[in-house]
Amino acid sequence: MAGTHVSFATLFDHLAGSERAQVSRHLQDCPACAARAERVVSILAAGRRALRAPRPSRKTLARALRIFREHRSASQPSILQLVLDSLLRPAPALRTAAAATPTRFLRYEGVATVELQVTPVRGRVELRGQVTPPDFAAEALLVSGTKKRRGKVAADGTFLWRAVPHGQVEIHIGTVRITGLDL
Amino acid sequence: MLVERYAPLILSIPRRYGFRAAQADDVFADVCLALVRALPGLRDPQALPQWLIRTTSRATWEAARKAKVQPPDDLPPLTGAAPPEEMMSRLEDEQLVRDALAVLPERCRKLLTLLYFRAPTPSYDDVAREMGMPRGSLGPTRSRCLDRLRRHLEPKLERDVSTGGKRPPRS
Repeated sequence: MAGTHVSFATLFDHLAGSERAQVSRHLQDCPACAARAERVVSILAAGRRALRAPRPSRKTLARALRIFREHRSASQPSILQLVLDSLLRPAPALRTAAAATPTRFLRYEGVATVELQVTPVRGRVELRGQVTPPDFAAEALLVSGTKKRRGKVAADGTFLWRAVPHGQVEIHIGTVRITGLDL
Repeated sequence: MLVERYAPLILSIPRRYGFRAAQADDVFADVCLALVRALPGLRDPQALPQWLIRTTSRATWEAARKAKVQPPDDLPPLTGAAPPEEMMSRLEDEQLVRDALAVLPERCRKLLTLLYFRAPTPSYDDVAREMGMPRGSLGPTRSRCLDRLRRHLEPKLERDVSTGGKRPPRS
């Protein structure tokens, strides 16, 4: 193993308990890998703590939704509107289990806000979105590896791609680039 | 959506400091109210977790003073100012992992949680049974899922490592 750095996956396995002896020897001689290992240790510990963290109850989420509804303001139309619209839909904790549970993302980039909803459909995904302000761009671009698919942005800012294969994609809308989406 | 995503982060702070569930819910509501008011001015999504940690810590400190909640001895005392750096880092790391797991497909999320984030770690046979897949398929699936997790975590990890563990100044 000398001469090459230890991979992320090997570090995870090593620090989680397996492959310990072989990697330990390498870490003693490789300060770069030792530094990465230290961060992986903290991430593993953080993950364990994160999963122990309390989840909000239905009552707690409902109370939060009320706060957002009551403070809805006409003077804050763009970002807040979208955040509220996202929140006002049934939250996962309030939803009954569904076969194809959509995942939602909200990305606000200063100049525009993009909301995305990813829904698994027959082994692929349906990708719906809405950009605010709606006239921010007339077209959206879905980039998956070397493939590109254009989508028309409707007058209300909505756009849709059906039957998108799983994997990493990017979405380009005007100057906004949403990268690293893992479908 | 924002509330769902960050609720565990927000609730974990008052709960760590000895608040009962109902008291933590009150802090959560205070932070939601502050978030509604601050959202139009928040332009950097990367800064939101830090903003929430600071705001929740302050709300927890205020609530603890009023309710005379005694924090555990092993935690740094909260003040009205930003929480201690070590606590910020730990909470940010927790959110980093939550966010990274949240964008993975359900199958990957479940497998990585079983293999790396559950204590005590179950045996491979138990993981295979819980995943409903042959034991021999765990390794390749694990590698693919770990690679996806790496893509989400690594830019942040490499940045921290390259700065010698020092994080960029907080805004």
